Amino acid sequence: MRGYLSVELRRLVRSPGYLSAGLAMPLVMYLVTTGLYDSGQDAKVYMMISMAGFGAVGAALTNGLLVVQDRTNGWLRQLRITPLSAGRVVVVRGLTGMLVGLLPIMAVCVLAAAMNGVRLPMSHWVAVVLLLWLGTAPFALLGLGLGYLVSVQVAQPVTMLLNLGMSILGGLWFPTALFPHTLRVISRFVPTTGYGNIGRAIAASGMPNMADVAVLVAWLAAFAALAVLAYRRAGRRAY
Amino acid sequence: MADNVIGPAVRFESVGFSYRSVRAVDGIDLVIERGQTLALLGPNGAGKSTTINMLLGLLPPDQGRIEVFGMSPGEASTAGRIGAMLQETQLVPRVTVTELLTFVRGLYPAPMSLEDLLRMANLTDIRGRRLEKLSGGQSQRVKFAVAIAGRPDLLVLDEPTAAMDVESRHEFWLSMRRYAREGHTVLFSTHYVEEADESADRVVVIAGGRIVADGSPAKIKNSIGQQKVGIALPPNGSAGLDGMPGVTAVEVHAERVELSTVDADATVLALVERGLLRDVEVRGARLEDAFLALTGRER
Repeated sequence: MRGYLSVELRRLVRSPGYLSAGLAMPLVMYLVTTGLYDSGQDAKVYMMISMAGFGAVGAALTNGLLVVQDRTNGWLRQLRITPLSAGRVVVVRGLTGMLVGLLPIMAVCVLAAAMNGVRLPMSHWVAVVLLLWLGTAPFALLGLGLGYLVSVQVAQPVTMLLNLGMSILGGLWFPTALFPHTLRVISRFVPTTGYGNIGRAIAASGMPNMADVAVLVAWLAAFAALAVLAYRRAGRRAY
Repeated sequence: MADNVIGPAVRFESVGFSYRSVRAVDGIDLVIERGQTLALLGPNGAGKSTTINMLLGLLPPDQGRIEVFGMSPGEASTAGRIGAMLQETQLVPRVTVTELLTFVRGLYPAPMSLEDLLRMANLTDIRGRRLEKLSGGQSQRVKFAVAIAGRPDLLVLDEPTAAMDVESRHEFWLSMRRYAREGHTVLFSTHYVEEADESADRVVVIAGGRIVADGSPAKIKNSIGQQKVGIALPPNGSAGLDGMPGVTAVEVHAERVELSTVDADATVLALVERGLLRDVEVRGARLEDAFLALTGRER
């Protein structure tokens, strides 16, 4: 399993275009939204969590596109006839997607501290980074599920729609407080809402709200089921 | 996971598979003894790849059963007993030859040493090269190395030479035979009679998802039919033509000679070398027609 992780990480490190594309968007958006009008300290922290989360969720989702590639070029079939178990392939694939997400989280936090003067107790910084990272697990599973389920042609637009839709509805781009009432109710159940709220609560007080954790855990279970079903279906198609 | 040490390498028992309404494999019974090199010969669409995908556990048969060393194909893969070169797969980009082979070796219980592997697949010179920068022939060599990295007891090659030029093909079969000589069981598919003839000890012909012939390469080649090469009668007559490569019979008609051959390519090449190739005409059943003749059906 370590050998496989190392191969997949090498492939990632040698894709600077892919990695920097995932970094540029959240960094630029963070600088623009916090610099556009004279935002206060609270807004700077709020947007830091939002943009770090937006980048990490995007990385976890687009990881599914790499799975689609591996499926179509036959790499997954080749792995299936080796002693490497299918479960490990899935775990490593999901883990690499999450590791890529660590980059925008770190980058946005560093930028927030260096350029916007965001200050948090050290323990809060650690908790923010850690939970923003762990919180991408449901999205990594969703990415894998799509990667095993959909065709090459559909994968790209579906991933983009989900990424944008969840980011907007989950309040990663604009605070949900600005939404009309109905949209705000819907937004309450979107996975990115729970994800963003957990990060913000930790930055503010070091403790997440249990309702948000429950929403995210429910989605984790749902997306895990989707990933398992999609993987089994892909197996029957011999990919 | 009980491995019956004296049992055959592979056993198919009335195995079938359908893609929706198409019966791709229609009741195959086949036993491959350990150490045998078997060619699965057949035209495109005969069911070769479907058969191989089932043997590798990539496709579950919808009828019958398959055993590899007394286990299910999946168990045999997990135990590291199978290695394969699949059709229509590309190597993953941004990884070097050595990195890929090191990774694959690491998955198997008793792999080949990296140096032996690079030598056997003729990759030593390009070991540091990234996989996306390789030529077609080099890629095939890497795929072959991936297939044998774990020193599998059963090596499966699905149309391994499809993308190769003549020289690469020659080298490839040398490497394959070297691996087979070490006592490993090999199954390869091809639609070239010559490849089956030169590299296998047993040829199984499949067409329409069924086995239509099974025997030694010589027997199969004869049953598939011969070709005729006609040339203008050489100035010094037809003497010596019967000893040329592939030739089984010589007939003289007025100013022309007709040679029956089992290998028209070799015969024509030899004629060129002797400067006898004038007004050439090659006739003979196309392989597809020969396969259909074997199945007893009309086109």
